[in-house]
Amino acid sequence: MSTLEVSNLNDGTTTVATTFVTNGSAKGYCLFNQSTPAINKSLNTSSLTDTSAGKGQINWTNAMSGGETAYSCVTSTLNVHASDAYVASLTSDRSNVTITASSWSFVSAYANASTAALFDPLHAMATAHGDLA
Amino acid sequence: MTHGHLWDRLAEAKTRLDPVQSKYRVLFEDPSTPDEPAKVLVPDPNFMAAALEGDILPPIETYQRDRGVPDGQPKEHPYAEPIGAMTEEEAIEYLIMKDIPPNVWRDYEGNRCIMRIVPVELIPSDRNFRNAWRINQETEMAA
Repeated sequence: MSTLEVSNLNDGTTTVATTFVTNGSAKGYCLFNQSTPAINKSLNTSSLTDTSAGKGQINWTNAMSGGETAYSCVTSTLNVHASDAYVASLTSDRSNVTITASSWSFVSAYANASTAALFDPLHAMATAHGDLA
Repeated sequence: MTHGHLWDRLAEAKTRLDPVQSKYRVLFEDPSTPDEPAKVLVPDPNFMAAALEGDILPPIETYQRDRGVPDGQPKEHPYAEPIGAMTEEEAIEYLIMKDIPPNVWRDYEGNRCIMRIVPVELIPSDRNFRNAWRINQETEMAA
């Protein structure tokens, strides 16, 4: 394997340090189905803990530097019919669980005009950005 | 140090190893939260591939020592020398010690069975009563 040593990148007008790119790249992700439950695609994930309906935890193989790591999340919507539209959200369960450097606890919920509840997403993805331990 | 950083080894392994879906799941109840339902630990396919391949994952003892290291402080496991190949069963035991709290697999002294390694087929597919799941105490293997 050959190694390319580059300190800066230039697109013709702007120069950025290569650390600008490496620091901003995802350090882990997990695409999962909580209904099965199963992990479909991942990087730096060791396991998924199915905690209860709509709740769980992603465990990282290489820990992050701390619990303040930034996460971006996507989950599937249940229903997009105009007459009965839902919104669904996968988000950090910080209000109930302490987020650590080695795992991320999540909660998945949906809501419409009249109801809201936790649910098990068929397709959900969380991506971790930040520094590694 | 010639073995590099753990994350680099994981990223490299992902490019050449096929994911391995484990045939096992780990059911456990946390005695510190007795009102919560049984939890299910699902092994990651890329993690399993790395464990079966060897020379990628650090010794489990490094994770256990890192439990006592405050967040933000340097951790041992990313820089530790990797260990050799594991069997699938050894990889599951490794995951238990890494991702399940010690008060479940090491410190619990009660009579109730609070952890079981089960074939994936024994995890119920009907999740209507997910929040009522408990580990069956009457049979050897059933969830």
